[in-house]
Amino acid sequence: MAIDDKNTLRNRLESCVSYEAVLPALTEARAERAALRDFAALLRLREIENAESISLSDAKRSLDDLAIESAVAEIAESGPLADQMADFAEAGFNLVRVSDEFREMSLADRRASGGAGSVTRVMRSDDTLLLETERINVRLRDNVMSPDVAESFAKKYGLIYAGKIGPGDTGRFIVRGDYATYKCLELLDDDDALFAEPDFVERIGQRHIPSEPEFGNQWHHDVIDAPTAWDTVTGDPVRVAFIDTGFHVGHADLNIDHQHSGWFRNSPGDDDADFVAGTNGMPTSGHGTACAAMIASPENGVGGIGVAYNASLRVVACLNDYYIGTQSTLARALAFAVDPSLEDGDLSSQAGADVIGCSLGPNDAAWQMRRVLEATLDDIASYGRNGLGTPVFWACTNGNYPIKHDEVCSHPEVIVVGRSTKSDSDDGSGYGPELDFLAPGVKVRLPKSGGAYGALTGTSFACPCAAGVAALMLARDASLTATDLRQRMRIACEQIGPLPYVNGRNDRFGSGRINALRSIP
Amino acid sequence: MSVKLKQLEGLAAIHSDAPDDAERERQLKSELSALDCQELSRFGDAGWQIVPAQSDREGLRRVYKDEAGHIVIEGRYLTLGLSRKAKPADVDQIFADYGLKMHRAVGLQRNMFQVEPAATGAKRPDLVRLCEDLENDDRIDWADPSLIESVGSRFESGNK
Repeated sequence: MAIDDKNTLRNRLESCVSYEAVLPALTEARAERAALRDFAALLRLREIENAESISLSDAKRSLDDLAIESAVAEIAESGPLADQMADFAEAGFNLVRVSDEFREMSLADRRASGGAGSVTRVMRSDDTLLLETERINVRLRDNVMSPDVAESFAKKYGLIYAGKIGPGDTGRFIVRGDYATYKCLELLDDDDALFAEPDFVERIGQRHIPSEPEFGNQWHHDVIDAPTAWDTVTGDPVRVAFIDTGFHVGHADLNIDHQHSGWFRNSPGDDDADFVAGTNGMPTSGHGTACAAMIASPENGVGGIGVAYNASLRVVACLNDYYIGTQSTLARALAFAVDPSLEDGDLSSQAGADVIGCSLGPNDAAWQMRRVLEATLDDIASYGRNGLGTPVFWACTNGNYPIKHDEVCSHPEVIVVGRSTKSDSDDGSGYGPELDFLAPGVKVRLPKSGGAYGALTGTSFACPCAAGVAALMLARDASLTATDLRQRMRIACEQIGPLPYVNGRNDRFGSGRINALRSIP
Repeated sequence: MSVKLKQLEGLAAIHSDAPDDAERERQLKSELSALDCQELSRFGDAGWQIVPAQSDREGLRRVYKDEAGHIVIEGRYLTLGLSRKAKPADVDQIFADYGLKMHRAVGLQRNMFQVEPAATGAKRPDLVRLCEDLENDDRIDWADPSLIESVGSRFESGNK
């Protein structure tokens, strides 16, 4: 966002929600902070009742005889908010529902009574907990900065000038006043102001850097802004199924949901296939293993990490080691991913995958689709995820051919992924109006057969990279339809390469190269 | 039928663990393009042998090229999608009319049927012709022969 984008600022501020009558009790004594650490630990375990009890007893110690109630259940309604509430507790801020008497006190009186003397309101913006202060950061147009101008600007809105920000004449200064968030909305309407933003206290945290030994070599994460996206989502509890000919199911860098995985064993003559539940006896394939690792290789100190590393990974193997078989079997594998009860009566029809990926298909231009596969893809779009549609990602041909000759990738419900390089160019994979976007798929660092890591190339790996981003998106908003998700991913793409984009796309790059951070709702 | 197929006359395929006649197979493939031979070799890896269509061995399959130019081998089943006009009771009647045996229902809605046609004498039924006949029936929306194909993966070949 451009710093002076007033509309973006306005939208952000308007989306803030206030927790009415919730304010912090401030616990400063070292001995008492130990209780808040216990409170934080219970919150992280989502033991709400026990956490409430500690929060109340701590607040009663701080706020003397003032009537208070717990705000834990109200704030800890989502995992990220509960975790941030825990972080605030460890910093001494115990958020509780306070009496009217306390709320009506001045900040100085609140502080004298055991509250935080700087927090005017407790708010949230999406999944971020914000403590509103009296302070507002302002920047005037044309970098005009003199105390007189700033004071007169502050007075116009009933605010107090509190000093400039930074060295030199940057036009930036701080003002103070009640209800800073509302006030900022007024200031943003002033043509003299370039921006006005409340100085919220928030849990900024430390960017998470996975400790996986191969992470530093996995350039694709940085290119698609995955590490920043991981600040808010890592894939849990989304279920991703990948379909291939086999997987190294015992690989140390795969964490597979064995119960909801399965494989199709070709009958003699390859006419048909028997379904085998679970992963026992599943064929091993370096290709499938690398694709699965791209999606959800877990953070376990081994190898690399997946794009949606906390997603639940199911693997479905079909066709034989030579990629020989029928499209009926491929259709059954897709249907099993969406509704496991179709092949395994012990599994629930509701336990299907939220995202599907597949990197099978001939590498030349053409592939004819049989009706059984076409109808299955139609049904997945209509009935998957209880009618929301299950997004199906498919790798397009690696050859420099028009995708239109590939009937599977031309199916309107299939999300088609080509491959891009570390330097954000295309790499000559399939092209045409059917191409949705590119994802990293040239010399990406993934596990190879036998367990070692290596640099692998193919749309095969771009496809699961995009499927991983879809898992991050659904982790944030499970109500997205497959159509919305696809459109959102397209819009979020970075328009790379030398070719012009007309109506947001061109035939060589699709909508561009995927971006995880921008895709997340 | 969603696919248009051209039979490779004079050739047949058989799935067998028995040693193949390499010289005979080389002669049979001599009229095929290098690409076709390459594709057939992938079937060979999976146990398929190319034999003369007139061979008296049991289990011969017809060999086709689809419109995409890929070689496919005739399967054992065909898949039916019934017309919306078809009633549940029609299913049994269709099977009886065409001598079909249910193999399994497939698809998320279980509304497609993999069926096996009755054998006619020693020769395998011609699934392609049967599918054409079935598609002329108002109760049937579509019928596709099961085809065994070499699907492949989208791993850049240099990695293999």
